[in-house]
Amino acid sequence: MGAVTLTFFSSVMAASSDSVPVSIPRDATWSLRLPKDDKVTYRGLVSFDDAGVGAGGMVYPAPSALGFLAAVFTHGAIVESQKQSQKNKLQEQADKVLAPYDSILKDFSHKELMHRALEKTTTAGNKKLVDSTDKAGTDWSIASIPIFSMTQDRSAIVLENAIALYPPNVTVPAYQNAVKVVSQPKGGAETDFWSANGGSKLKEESAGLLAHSLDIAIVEATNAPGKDSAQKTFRYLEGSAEKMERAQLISEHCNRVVIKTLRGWLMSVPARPSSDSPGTASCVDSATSASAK
Amino acid sequence: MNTRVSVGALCAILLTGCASTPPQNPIDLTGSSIDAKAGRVGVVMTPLPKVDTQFPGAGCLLCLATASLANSALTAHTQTLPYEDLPKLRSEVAEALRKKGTDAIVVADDIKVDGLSEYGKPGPNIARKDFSPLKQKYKIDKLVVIQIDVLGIWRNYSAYVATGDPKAVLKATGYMVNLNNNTYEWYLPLNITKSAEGPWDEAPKFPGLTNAYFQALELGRDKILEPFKKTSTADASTR
Repeated sequence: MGAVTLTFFSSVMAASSDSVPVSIPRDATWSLRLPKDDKVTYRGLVSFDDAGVGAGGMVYPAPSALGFLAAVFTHGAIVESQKQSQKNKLQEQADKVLAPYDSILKDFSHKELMHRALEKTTTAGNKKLVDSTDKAGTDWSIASIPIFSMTQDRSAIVLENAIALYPPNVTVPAYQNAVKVVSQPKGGAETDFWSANGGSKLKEESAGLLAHSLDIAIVEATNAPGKDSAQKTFRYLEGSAEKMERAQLISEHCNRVVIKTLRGWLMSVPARPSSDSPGTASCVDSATSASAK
Repeated sequence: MNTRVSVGALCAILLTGCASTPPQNPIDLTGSSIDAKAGRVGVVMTPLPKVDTQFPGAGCLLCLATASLANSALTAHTQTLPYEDLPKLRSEVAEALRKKGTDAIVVADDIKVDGLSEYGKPGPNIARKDFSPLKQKYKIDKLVVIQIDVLGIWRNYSAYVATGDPKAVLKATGYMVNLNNNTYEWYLPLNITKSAEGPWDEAPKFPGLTNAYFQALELGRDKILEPFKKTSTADASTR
């Protein structure tokens, strides 16, 4: 990920979403602004639960107070370097899950991804792609930095998308938030599932997730803050693994649940299957379009 | 000379103590332990620990003071975190047992295991404490004990230096004691750690670590309940 992208992503992820509803005309024309980096970011999903160097004692050489402080700072610098190195190694190891798709992903550009995504959004109004250097015009514009992760069993893709919505001719976002979307698990997904036909399933699923995240952000931006529902721990499938998130329920539709995390970010996750679930075969889910094709 | 003898005796006592209490190995729950013939089973919990932070490895007093000061905001927040549904765990285990056909009751009192007397006959899979008086007290044949030892956020240290990011921790032990012979029929030590997804240093509410804490709570509940839900008994299969 480029430095500029990372800076934007970090600032949006750190910003809390504005609770004041944004007034957007129903027939608004939308411009989706391309990120500065052309290549779409994919990585392997990693867990840092086992990260850390472990607890232990340390005897510092202390010829003087200054020498003691120097020893503590040196120890701190070494440990910090070890921690970062360990995290980098875990991420590098996790990224190996993408090796079979290298040839597909190296040519997959934000332009292609976002073009596909715009065709899948359910938000009303005209939509078009604009370059990152284009000045704010008379349209509503969306800045979006998507980062995709693949689970280690290759049965699901997770999107983290930093989104900012700009009114016409304004350079300050009216709404910004991070939206995470977890795809429906593909039972028994194999390497070939995503790579078949030049990676069409991988690209379609990624575009579906991106479109879904944009729709969620626009709906949330325009919604007046309702009465906060109680926080609870939601369970969902991320591939074949059950995950949990402490959050508030925003909406439940078909086979998806949209929640607001403790950070204020939005998440759309597969609903847990149950006999009284509203999810049925007739529900069309923009975030799972690849599996339906 | 006296000092040498005293030090030698102290070492001998410590080494003997270490040698005489080997860690209890896990024991899987079997269907015969909880079927209808198993008798009446009580389910009890030990008092829940205070939700708090700990800094293992910050060994010296000054190291601990430094770690405590550096993480004071995290400690203040951690101490506000609730137990959520953890106190209901005994009822959930009893309910799972009943679904298997077991005559199970909830023992509402918290049991203080340290307050029980030592069992006189040590041996493999024999409980160190004497649980047998509880047979009469609660009119039960077996006792399931859910013992949550540690709950909160831990951050490992090496003296003054944090060696990792803080993590949510739940340490617990679940076990079932046959009160007729004081032997374990199920023993499950748990050590659950969950890290925050993304950054952790988000004072004052630490949402990433708070989320990890609730994940650890749920995982702990799942692990304790799992054997009682999965272990099949003849009674359950004929229902």
